Amino acid sequence: MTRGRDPERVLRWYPAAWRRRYGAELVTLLEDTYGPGPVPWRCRLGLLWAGTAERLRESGLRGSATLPSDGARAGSLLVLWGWAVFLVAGAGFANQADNWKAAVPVGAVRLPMAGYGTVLGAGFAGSVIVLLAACACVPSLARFLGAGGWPVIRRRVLQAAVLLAVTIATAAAMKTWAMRLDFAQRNGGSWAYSALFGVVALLATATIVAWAAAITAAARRLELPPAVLRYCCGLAVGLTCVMAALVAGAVTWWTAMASYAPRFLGSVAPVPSLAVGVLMVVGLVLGVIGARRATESLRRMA
Amino acid sequence: MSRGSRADGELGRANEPAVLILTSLASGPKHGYALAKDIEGFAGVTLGPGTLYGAITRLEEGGFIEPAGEERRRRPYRITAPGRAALAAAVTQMRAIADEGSARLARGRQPQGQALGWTS
Repeated sequence: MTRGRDPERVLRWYPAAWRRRYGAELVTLLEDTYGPGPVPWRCRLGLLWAGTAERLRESGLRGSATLPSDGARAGSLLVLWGWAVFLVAGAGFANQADNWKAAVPVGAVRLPMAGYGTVLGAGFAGSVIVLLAACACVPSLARFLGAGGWPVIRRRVLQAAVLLAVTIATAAAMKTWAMRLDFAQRNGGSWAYSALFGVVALLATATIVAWAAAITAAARRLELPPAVLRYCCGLAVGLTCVMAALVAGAVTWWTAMASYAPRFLGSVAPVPSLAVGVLMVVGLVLGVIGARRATESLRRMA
Repeated sequence: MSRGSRADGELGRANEPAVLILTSLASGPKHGYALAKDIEGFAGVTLGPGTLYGAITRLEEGGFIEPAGEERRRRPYRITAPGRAALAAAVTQMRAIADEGSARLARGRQPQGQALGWTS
């Protein structure tokens, strides 16, 4: 690593606006302090941490000096990211729970059904909430686009749209192929099918993340009236409650299945199951932090 | 504002980066490297570049310091009037704590019964 280039590379994690203001000074300080050699790892980690702090401040997630409206918006967007994580976890859960009823004794369906039904109901409620929030932002989005905002978000939206199209096409091809395979081949018997399944799962995850990033990029630039912001914050809190219900439903289903159909759960690969659980917890934590930030900011706005 | 310069103007403890930076700037404008070296000299504290510039950012946002020149790569900073007031308040608070600590230590040197107020 050469002098000058290395410090600049380390600073890439800082927000662009911060780098424009302080970047040159900080690079000079690093050069003055460490000379021509590479930046030591301890300092590198410190800069990563400080860069993260600046990013959190820029997004409105940290710092009481942030405008309350920015804090409310950032909190709501963090809840949306929590929901995006839940969508990924939900897809894993749906795959895991495929044909679960056939594995449970007839008299014992009630409890797992309650859990599974809660997951489905919460998933539907969450989708409706996200749709309501999107509808509330449409007038502001129209104004933003009308004022020439499209180029600012074009790259992210196009990326997300292309990923969605590729995911749909790949999933459709996989579905067509799956119809020609038997049960054993579809469930690990064919390595090629398993590999394609993994690719579709990755593509679906990338699509969800890309859309969440596109929505975030647009929402951060919208001029949202205070009433809409308050409405969106309320929806964000509601969405967090829905996530909590979803976790409760999934835990109920897992517990019931472990009691009544342990062989079914035993047949499911443990790593993806664990990943689904971890993703749900991560999503819920993001939701709770976001909802808290949003409500605190709303209080400051009032 | 977080660590460094709080929204209410409080700067925090003596070893907080904001207090150290304002103390350093109280003797005249300095750029980043000079600040780090000066602080190391008078306080024995090494502020990492990330911590130093995080605190500089907060202090500038809070109006406690301002750029003292146009130079982009080694931009010096100087303390502002609100910065001096905040530092004075922090120093007064620290002095009160130091005085109280000294007084209690002095009392602690007395025989135990006397220190606890058991003497008649």
